[in-house]
Amino acid sequence: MYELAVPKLNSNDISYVLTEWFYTDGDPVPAGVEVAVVETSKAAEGITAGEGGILVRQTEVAQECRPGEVIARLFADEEERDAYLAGAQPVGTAAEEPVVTEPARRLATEHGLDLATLKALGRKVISRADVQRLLGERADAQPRRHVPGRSQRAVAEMVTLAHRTIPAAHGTVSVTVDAALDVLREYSEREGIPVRLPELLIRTVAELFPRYPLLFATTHDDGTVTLAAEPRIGVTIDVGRGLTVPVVEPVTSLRAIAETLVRFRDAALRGRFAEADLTGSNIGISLPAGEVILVQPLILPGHAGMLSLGATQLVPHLEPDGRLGVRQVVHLGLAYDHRLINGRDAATFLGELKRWLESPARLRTLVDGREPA
Amino acid sequence: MGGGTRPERVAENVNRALHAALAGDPRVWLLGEDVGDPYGGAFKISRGLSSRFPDRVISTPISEGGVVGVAGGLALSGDRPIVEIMFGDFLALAFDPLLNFLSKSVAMYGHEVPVHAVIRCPVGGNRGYGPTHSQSPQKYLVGIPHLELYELSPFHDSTAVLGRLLDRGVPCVLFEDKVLYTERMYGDGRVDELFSYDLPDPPDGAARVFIEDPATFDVLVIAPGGVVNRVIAAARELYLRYEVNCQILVPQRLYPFDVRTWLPTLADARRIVVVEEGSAGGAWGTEVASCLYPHVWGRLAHPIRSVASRPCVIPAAPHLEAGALVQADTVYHAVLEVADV
Repeated sequence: MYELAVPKLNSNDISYVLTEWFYTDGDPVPAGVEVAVVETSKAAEGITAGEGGILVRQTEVAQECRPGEVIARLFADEEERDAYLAGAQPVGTAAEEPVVTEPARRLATEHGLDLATLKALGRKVISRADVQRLLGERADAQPRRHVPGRSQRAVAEMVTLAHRTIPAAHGTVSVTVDAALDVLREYSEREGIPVRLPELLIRTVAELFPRYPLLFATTHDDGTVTLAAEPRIGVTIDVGRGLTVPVVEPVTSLRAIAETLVRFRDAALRGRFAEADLTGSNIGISLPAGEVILVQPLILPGHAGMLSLGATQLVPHLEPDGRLGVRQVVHLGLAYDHRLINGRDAATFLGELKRWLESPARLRTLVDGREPA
Repeated sequence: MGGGTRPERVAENVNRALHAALAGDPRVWLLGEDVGDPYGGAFKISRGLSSRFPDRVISTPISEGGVVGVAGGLALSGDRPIVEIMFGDFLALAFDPLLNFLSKSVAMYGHEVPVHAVIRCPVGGNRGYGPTHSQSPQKYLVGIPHLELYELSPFHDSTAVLGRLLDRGVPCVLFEDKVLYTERMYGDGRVDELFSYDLPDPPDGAARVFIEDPATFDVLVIAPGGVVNRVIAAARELYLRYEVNCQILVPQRLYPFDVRTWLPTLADARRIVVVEEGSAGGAWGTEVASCLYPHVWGRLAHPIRSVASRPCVIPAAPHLEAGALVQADTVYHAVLEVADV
């Protein structure tokens, strides 16, 4: 394609008037001939095409044209001409784009709104206020401020302190609980009160207290600890009204533990814990929440460790005779203050817990409240 | 190329108005240098008139004082002359008959004598015509009793404007920015995809250019027809970049400046800019400001800003001329200053 532009013909005129075309649209024009005449304020001048081709005029007779303005295009063949004409946007037929101001564009970009969304507003001009309205209508898109309630703020303070001050390590064992569940089912039927793994775990942890005094110790800022006289186990209770960690009194009976947990859940639902329920624990247990199988708990400030019990899973397993069997398994985790307790101690404690929970003989001891053999 | 459906150019609109005036009233004359065919005037505005009305379209000698004096005589005889001054700069040569003859004739004979005369003069620069063919002399005629000043605009149909001026009964000078001649008239209330306009009553009032809603604006810009396209270009940038919303009022009459029909708009105006191409110093805009202040005093966020060309001789070199005369970016920066963005 050759573009025929008007040359600058004098220094006086800003524009000239096209007075005559020698060819019409579609004519083949040879190179080097005069194609049109423009009139300056002083004279008429012929405009010569530097290259030949098929003519498409861009300016009409009596129209003004400025120096440099393209008054015609010349195409090598009709195919090129048609392709050009097909691509040329006819004036006034295309749907008009809205005018979007720069502040509006910036705000839209910040919120990930694209041009199509803005166009859908159907406005001729889109300002920042329009975008703001659009964002306002999309309530989700508008960042809203949430102020946590009092109890959550207390949780926040506690976990922040724990996270900042306690260098915790973590270990997990998997415990097969088929035997334990059998024992608990029997016990529940006999006692007429449902007793599950959490109660059993609390009972077992209390059982191990004398041999693992450091896990129940109260830590101090100066690095020393106070050893506990008895196990006071805090358990996580969250019935949807905020997290609380009430303390189970040192007891030996599963029934008493089960009754305590029922009372705690009830208190949690009503939001009515006594101050005494919530103070004085020296170790924590994070109880199962939904389907979660593995929890890495935070250690409560002042504690040396916190256990976690996951949901019960069915796990395939090969029996000694080679048949495929199924076992019920839980993950039992321990977070411990590494300033006080090392991995070996934690592993020993978890291993012993696992053996207690898996051994039918020891389970019976725990359930019946007798000293183990 | 579809050119036939495009709005007519301002030059064509004025030419049509002259045809209509001469055709509609046998008392109408056109006098001026080189207005006859085939030349049809320096800017081709009088094209075809002498062929159609050979007795009343008169090419005159090069004597602006003489031509305007003749027009005064025709007017006193009950005719309605239109004079074309080839370049508004030469209006200086007709200053005496305008000041001492045509305008005074209205009131110095003991009773009111109607003087129906219109002096048309192409003015303004940005064409590279140099110091003596580029000026905007409007301000030199401001304040002459019984002389009214008007300016051509792309919003107001010249046939109606010229008809009203010929009926006024006082001599009227119509300034026509020559840059406007080759530009298009606006129609159907639309300027472009951003700006609309309307022509509120009365018919000799100002055109109002606005974005979407004429009741909402940040800055009121008062700009006669010659500079209005530059102001629109500036207002467009101001809105797109900063959402500074300018409403532009385009008055037909420059003097006497009548604010009464503007009072509703002025009630909302807290920032006002007045633009003209004439040079600063005793400018038209300061007269406008002094007329506006009593109506807006106490409500303004900023003093009224007058935007005018630099008080210097207009250079012939186009790049120097562009720097001396009011351009779109001159207006842009002035409004930005007033808008406190």
